[in-house]
Amino acid sequence: MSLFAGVGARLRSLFRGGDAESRMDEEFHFHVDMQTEKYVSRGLSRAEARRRALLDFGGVERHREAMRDAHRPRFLSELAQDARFTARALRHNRAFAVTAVLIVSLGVGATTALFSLANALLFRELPVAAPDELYGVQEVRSGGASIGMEGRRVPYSRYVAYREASEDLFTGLAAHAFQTVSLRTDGAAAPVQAALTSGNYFRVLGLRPSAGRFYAEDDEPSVVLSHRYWQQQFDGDPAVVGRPVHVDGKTYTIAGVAPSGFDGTVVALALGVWVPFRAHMATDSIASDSWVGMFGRVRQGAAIPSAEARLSTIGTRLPPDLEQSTVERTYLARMGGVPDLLRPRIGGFVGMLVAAGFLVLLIGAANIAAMLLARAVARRREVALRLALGAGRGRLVRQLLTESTVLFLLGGIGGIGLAYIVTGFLSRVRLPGVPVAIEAPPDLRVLGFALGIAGLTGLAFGLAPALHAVRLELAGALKGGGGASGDGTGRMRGRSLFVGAQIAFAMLLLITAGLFVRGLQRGLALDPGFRADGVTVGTINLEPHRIGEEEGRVLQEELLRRVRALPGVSAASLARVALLTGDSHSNDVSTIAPDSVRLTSSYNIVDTAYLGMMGIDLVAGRGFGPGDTRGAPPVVIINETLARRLWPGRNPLGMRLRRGQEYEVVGIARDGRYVDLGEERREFMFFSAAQHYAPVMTLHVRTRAADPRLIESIREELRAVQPDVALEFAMPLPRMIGFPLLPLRLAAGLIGAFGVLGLVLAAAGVYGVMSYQVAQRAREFGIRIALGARPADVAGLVLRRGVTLSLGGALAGAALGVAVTRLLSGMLFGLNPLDPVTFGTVGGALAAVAVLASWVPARRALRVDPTVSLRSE
Amino acid sequence: MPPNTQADALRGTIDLLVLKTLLAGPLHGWGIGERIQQISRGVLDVNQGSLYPALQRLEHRGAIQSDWGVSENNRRARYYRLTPAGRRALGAETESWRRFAAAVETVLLAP
Repeated sequence: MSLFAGVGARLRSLFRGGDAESRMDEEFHFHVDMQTEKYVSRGLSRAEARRRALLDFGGVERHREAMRDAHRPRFLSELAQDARFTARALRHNRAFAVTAVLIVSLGVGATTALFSLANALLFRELPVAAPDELYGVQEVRSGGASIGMEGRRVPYSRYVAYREASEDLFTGLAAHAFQTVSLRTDGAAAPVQAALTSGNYFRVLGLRPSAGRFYAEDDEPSVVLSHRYWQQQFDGDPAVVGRPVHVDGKTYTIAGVAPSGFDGTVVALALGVWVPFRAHMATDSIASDSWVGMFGRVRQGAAIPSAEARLSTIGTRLPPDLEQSTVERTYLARMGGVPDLLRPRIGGFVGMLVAAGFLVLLIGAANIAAMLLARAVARRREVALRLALGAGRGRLVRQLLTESTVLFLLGGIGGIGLAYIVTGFLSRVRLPGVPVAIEAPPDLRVLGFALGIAGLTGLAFGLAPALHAVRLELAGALKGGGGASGDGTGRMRGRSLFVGAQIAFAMLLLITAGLFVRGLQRGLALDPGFRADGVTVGTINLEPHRIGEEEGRVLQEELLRRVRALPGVSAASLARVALLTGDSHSNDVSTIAPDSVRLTSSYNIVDTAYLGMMGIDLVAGRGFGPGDTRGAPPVVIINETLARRLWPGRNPLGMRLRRGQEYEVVGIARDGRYVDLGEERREFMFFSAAQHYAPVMTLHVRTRAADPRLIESIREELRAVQPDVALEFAMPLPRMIGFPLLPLRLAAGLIGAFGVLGLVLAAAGVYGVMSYQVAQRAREFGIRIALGARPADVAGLVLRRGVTLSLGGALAGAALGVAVTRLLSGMLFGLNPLDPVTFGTVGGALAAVAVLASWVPARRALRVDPTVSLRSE
Repeated sequence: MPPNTQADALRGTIDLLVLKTLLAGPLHGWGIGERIQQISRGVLDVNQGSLYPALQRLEHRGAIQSDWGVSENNRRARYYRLTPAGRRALGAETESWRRFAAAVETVLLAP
C-alpha cells in the first residue's frame, strides 16, 4: 500500500509540476508567517520580526530548487544540470567545440550520405499503398533461365497460368518487362525506358494517377507517362492527357500520368512510360516471345511459407515451356530497392562504402578523444576541487560524458545537413544514355541512424577521457603540480592508443583505395582483343515494329550506306551486340559424332566489315566474305579457346560444329575479352549476319576524329530511313565499356578521399601527441642537455617515439588490410588483394607523413634551453 | 561552498527526527522544526533548507503523507502525518541510530 502511495506521489509530482510549485509557495509563506508571529510574541516590532523571519528562512529560490530536486527523479534534474554545465563549458572553449563539431559532421555526413544510398538501394519501401503486401514471384529453374531487372522471368502465357491458379493467394498478380521503346510525339523518335505491363499493374500497386487515369485490362491502346518524363517532355502540361503518341510505330493515347515519386518498381531504373502488353504486341502473339517478371499483392492473412509451397506446386505442375529447363521451386521476394538477385552484391558494395565512411568518423572521433584527454589535463584542478567538495566520481564521469555526447550529437546534426546536400547532388547526377536516377533522400530511418552513430561514438570515445579525468590524486592535483606524475603517463598511453588506432584505420582506407586504383589500372591495361577507341555505337531494334526480315535487311543496309557516307566516318558495320558491354548471348555447341564434345559458347552475329573494322585478328583462315550468303554453306569463325576446347591438338580449320545446323569453321580469331573485362579465356564464335538475320543490331561507327555531332547525324539518317525507330544506347563505345568500371571508380575515389581525410586527421593526432610529449618532457630534456646530451640525441628521442607509434599503427592497419581486403578479390581484375605495391606505397606514404608530423615537435625539443626549462618549476 | 555544512551533517539524522516528531501526531512543517528545537532544548536547530526537502523525500518514500489542514491560528497549512510504513521505518532507524551512537561512545571511551 505504502509502496503504491509512494509511486503515486512520484508520478503526481512529475506530471503536476505546477501544483507542486504552488503548494511549495504556500507552505513557505506559512512558515515565514508563523516565524514572524513567534518573533512578534517575543516583543519585536512586526516589521523587524518579518525581516528576521525572512533572514532565517534564507533564499526562497534555493529552497525551491532543493525541493524540486527532492521530488523530481534525481537523474532528470542532474541531466538538466549537466546540460547547463556542458553549454557553459563549450561556450568557454569555442574553438575546441567548433573543431570537434566540424570533424564529427564530416564523419557522420559521409557515413549518413552513404547509408542513405544503402537505404534507397536495399531497405526503402515502394511509394505505393501497403508496400509490405507486395511480393515478387520468383520461379527458380535449372538449365536455361531468363533473369533481368524484373527478377526471374517467365513467358507471358506462364504468367497467365500462374495468375489463374493463384487467385486465392493474391488480390492481384501483375506482370512487367523493362524495355527501351522508341517514343515519338511530333518530331523524331527518342528512346525511352519503358515497362510493358499487364493491365492490372497499377491496380495491384494501388497507385493514384496525378493526372488523367491509368489504363485497365481491356482498354484501347493507351500509355501512362511517369511524372518525371511528363515534367521533362511536356512541362507538366495536363492537356497531354488524351493526346496521341507513337510507341514503336504504333499509335496510343496518353491515358494519364503516374504519381510523382513513383519511377517504377526497381530503384535507380527510372521509367518514362508504361505500355500495356496486349496493345504493344501484335494481337495474341504475346504468348510466344515476351518474358516477364511477376509480382503480386498477397491477400491479408496469407502466410508466406505456405503461399510459397502452393506456388511451387503450381509451377512444377505447369507444362514445361523450354527444353532442358526444369522448374525447381517458386518463392516470394520482397519488392523495393534493387532486384532480389542483385541484393547480396550491391549490399556488400554499399556496405563497404558505409563502413569506409564510418572509419572516417572513428578516426575523427579518436582525434576528439585525444583533445578531450588534453582538456582533462587542463581541468585537473577543477575536477580535483569538485571531488574534494564531495562530488561523486560517477556523477563527474556522467557530466563529462554528457559533454562529449552533446558535442557528437551537434556534429550529428551537422552531418545530417551534409548528407542532405550530398544526396541532393546525387539525385541530379545523370549518366548520358542510361536511364538511371538515384533518389536517396534521407528518411526517418536515415536520421535515426545518423543520430545513433553520433551518440554512440560520443559515448564510446568520451568514456576513456572522462574516466581518466576523475582518476587522479587529489592532493597532487590541487597543489597544481602538472608534472609527469603517474597518471600523466597513463593518459599518455591512452592518447598513443587513440593515435595508433587512427593511423591503423587511415592505413586500411588507403590500402583499400589503393587496391581499387591498381585494380582499375589493371582492368584498363587489359587487352580486350579489339580496338574500341574512335568507335561509337547505337542499337537499332526492329523487333516491336513488325518489320519482317526482307524489309529489315533493306533498312539495315540502307542505314549502313548512309552512315558510311557521313563526313569523317571511316568505317561502319552491324553486329548483334557490342562487346564488353555486358550484353551476351550463348548457345550449346558440339562437334560431330563419334567423339562429340558438347559445351556452351558465347557468340556474336556480325557483318563482313566488322572483324576488320574492330581490329579483331585472325590467326588462321579467313573472315566473312561476299560469298557467305544465305544460300551458301553455313560458316563460323571461332576463337582460339573454343578451338582448343573442341579439337584439342588438331587443326580446327575446315572442321564442322553443330549448333542446330552444322557449320564449317573457316577462321580462327585471336582470343580476346567479350562479355566482361575480368574474364579469362571465354569460348566465343562469330556467325555471319548475311546467313543469320537479327532484328536487333548494334551499329558500330568508326570516325577519323572525335565528332560531338556524330550521334545526332546518325539519328538524322535513321529518321530518313524509318522515322519510328529510335537509336538506343547511343554513345562512344569506350564509355559504354567503362560503365562496369563505374563502381570501382566510385569506390576508389570515395575511399581514397576518405583515406586522405583520415590521414590528415591522423597526422594531426600524431602532431598533437608528440607536441604534448615535448612540452611534458621539457624538464627531462633540459636535464639531458645539461648533462651533455647533444640536441640531435634529444630530437632523435622524440622522433623515435613518433615513428614507433606510427609504425605500430601502420602494422595494425596492414593486418586489418590483410584481413579485410580479401573480400575485394572478385573486383580487382585478378590483382592480388595483398598487392605488395599497394601495401608498400601506402605504408611508405604513411611513414613519411608520420615522420613529418613528429619532426616539427622534435625540432621544438631541439630548442629546449636547459636554463629555462629547469628553472620553470 | 554554501554554508550548509551543518545541514549536511544533519541530513542523515533529520529523517529520524522528523519521523519521531510526527509519532506524536500530525504537524505542519514549521511546527516540526519548532518541536525539534523545543525538545532538544535549543540544541538542534533545524534549517528550513534541509527540513522541507526531507519532508518531500519522506513523502516519496511513503513514510509520511500530507494533507491540507487548519492550523492553530486558523490558517491553511500542510499537515504531515506518519504512515504505517513510516512507523516501521522509525523503528528501524531508531535502532540503527542507537547502534551508531553506542559505537561512537565506545570509541570515545576507549583509553
